[in-house]
Amino acid sequence: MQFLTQVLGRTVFDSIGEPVGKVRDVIITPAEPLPVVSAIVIGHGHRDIVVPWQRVREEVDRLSLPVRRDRIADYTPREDDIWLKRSVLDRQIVDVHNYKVVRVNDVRFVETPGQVCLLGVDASTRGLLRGLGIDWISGVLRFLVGKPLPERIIAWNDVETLEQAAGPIKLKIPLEKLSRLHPADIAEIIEQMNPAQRADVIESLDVQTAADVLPEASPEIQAEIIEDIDPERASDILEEMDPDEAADILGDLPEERTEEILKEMEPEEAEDVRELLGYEDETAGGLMTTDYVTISEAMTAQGAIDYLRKLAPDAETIYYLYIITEGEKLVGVISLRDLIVAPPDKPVRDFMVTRVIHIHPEASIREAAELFQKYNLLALPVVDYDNELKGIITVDDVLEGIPAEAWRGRPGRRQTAPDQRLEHPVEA
Amino acid sequence: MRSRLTRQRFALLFAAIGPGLIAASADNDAGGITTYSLAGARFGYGLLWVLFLTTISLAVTQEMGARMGAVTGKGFGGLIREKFGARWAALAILIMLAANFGTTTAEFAGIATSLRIFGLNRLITVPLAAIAIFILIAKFDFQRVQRIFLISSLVYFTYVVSGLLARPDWRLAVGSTLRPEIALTAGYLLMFVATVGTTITPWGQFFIQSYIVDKRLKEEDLPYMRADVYVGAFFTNLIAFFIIVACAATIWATGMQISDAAHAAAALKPLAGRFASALFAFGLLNASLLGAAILPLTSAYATCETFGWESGIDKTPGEAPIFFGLFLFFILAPSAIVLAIDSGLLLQAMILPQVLNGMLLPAILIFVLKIANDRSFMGKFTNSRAFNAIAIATTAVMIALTILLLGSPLIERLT
Repeated sequence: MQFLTQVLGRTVFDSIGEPVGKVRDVIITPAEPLPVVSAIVIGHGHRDIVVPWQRVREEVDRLSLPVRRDRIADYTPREDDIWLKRSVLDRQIVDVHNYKVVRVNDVRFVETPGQVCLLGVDASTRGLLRGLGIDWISGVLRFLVGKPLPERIIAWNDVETLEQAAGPIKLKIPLEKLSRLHPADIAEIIEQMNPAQRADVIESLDVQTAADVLPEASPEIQAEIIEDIDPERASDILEEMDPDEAADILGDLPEERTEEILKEMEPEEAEDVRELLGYEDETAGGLMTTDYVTISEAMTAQGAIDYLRKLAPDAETIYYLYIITEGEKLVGVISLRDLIVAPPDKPVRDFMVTRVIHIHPEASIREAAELFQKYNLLALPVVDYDNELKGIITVDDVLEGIPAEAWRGRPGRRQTAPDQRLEHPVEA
Repeated sequence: MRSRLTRQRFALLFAAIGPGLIAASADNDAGGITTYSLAGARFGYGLLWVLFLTTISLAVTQEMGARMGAVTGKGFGGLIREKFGARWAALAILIMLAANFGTTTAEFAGIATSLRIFGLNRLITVPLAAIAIFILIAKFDFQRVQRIFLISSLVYFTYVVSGLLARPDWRLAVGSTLRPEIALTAGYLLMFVATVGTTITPWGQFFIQSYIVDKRLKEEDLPYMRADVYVGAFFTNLIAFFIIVACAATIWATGMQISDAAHAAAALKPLAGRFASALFAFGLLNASLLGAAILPLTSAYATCETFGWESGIDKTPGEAPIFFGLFLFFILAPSAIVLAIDSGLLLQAMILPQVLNGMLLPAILIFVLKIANDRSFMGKFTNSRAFNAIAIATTAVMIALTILLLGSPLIERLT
């Protein structure tokens, strides 16, 4: 058999030509390289009989069993079996290869000696027409339009099913294939889903992946997801995210909900986020993050490198390190390059840049962007009027903050190569 | 907290106008107003009991649609596909499209009729309206558009006032509401089917469900959702009640005949005097525009969601060809029909589609009943026995009436 829709509904006969029932479903068992058809489900009165595929004989125009109707041996189902009509056909799946959510119109099999294997699913319109039994329309269309309707089979390896079974029983979906994609691609996929599916996916992904995916989705979807899943899980995910991203999402939620989630978070994280929530959106304060590396001026170059190695996983950027005094006052900055080049014993105060390019929290995004452009920065410290370091803005955040048109029409600026940006931040 | 939060608060206020209210008030479209007006004008209070029972059915069917959407998180078309397969889904969608096509034609007929009261020729108004609707939907946020129409729907309260001012025979009115009395004439049966069909529509079933899906409700929210749906059904049919009463008291009671929808404006005379026609026209226009804006869109969305075609008003026609094709078709073809028919048929063009809605309703309700009772989809939220009874009764009655209606010319010939 080639297509699932062609086999469903067909009558199965027994060895003496008596009809047993109609095919209600086809069961496959995962295997390498392709899943194999292991059984078919035949509707027999009120009960369904599940017959191993090996016992089914496929002839030209009929399916038959080699035994009498009352002597059919049942198939023993396996844990990871998939019932195609129940769980795959007509349902939505994720095409992991093309980052799309599609509906399965048909399932394609391939016959190998001794077995029938599942090749993939058909989500094309051609498949839909075939499944409806009106394939002749594609012939007509081909005649009218000139080119045939595209037929596309999505390989089973690229298929991620979204449900274990039809219905509201929400089992955690394995999502192995989906979770291996780049977070930006996962975000693109979940944007195509309906809210229920989205929430399920975010609940099923591991916390770190979910935290990477969420910032990549549109702000409305971020807010919707965080509102839908339960506060504890929401707080876990938000903790894994950068505080400025977390603050962005929480800022869009109703106050009670925001409080609910902040209460579930680790106190330090929650405090960071709360602080950032205090700033207006379209300002430097609204863009900044509180994850940066600070050291004291007495530290040696080697000491600083060791410190960095310990901290690096958590910091937004490690290309610049900021030197602060007891009262969090910004007194200098060094770049990673400076650190590696300097003699290991030299205290940082001897080679740090003391007149640091900075910005105040109330400044506009445009002003920040201009500073980035002028001084070729990767990050910009945000200080208040007492020179206390409040946060840093990283170049990716400021790029997102400026609409694309604003960047066009600039007089030809000399292009700087990326590593040139690691030089000393130029003195103001 | 961020300044964004204040924006959020305004959004919450608007969101308080629940989906139940919005979905139900879209019921008072061109077909609705005209059907209720005619019901009162031709049969006095004789159809009030139908309206009363229909309100109960409406509340029940809307609640089922909303519950299905809330529990499964999927649209009606998608659910039909998942339970019954592509073939049955295709049938359901075709039924919906047929019903919607008729209803959209009624909306454009309403636009033509209402603006004709101001002396404007339909050859100008209908194409302009079609273009305006297309731009409105394509360029503006649909939710906001809807809410604007919703607020202007408050104009229907003029029927309430007018109905009270017209001093109807309240004893007769209330009595007719509570005492079913059916006249077995073709005219009455037609009106019966139209009244039900304009209140409980196939598109309404798809609409409420997709609306709820976007709201993403949790189990705790279900009681509020129910309350919202019931309130919506009640209020929208309260308006319908007063439209019928006002028309009965002013038109039927005086023996006036209606051959044109514009004559139904007489119902507003007690309130508005010589402004009755203008007021009526405004109400009808508002209703028609709302309907004409919703129907093509919801038809396209439901179809594309069921068959996995790209959809979305923010996509280009190249990205979502079938979606746009349907959307455009549902604006252009009904407009063309309204322009082509004889102007004397405009009234029929508004009533007959409601009859079609009523005749196709049983098919849709059967799908609803089967899914709403399916444990594998609804878990513990399957229908209660009472709801099943009401829905099944509605279905049975509509099937019976359809048979009677279609058979009535035959019966009349035999007797």
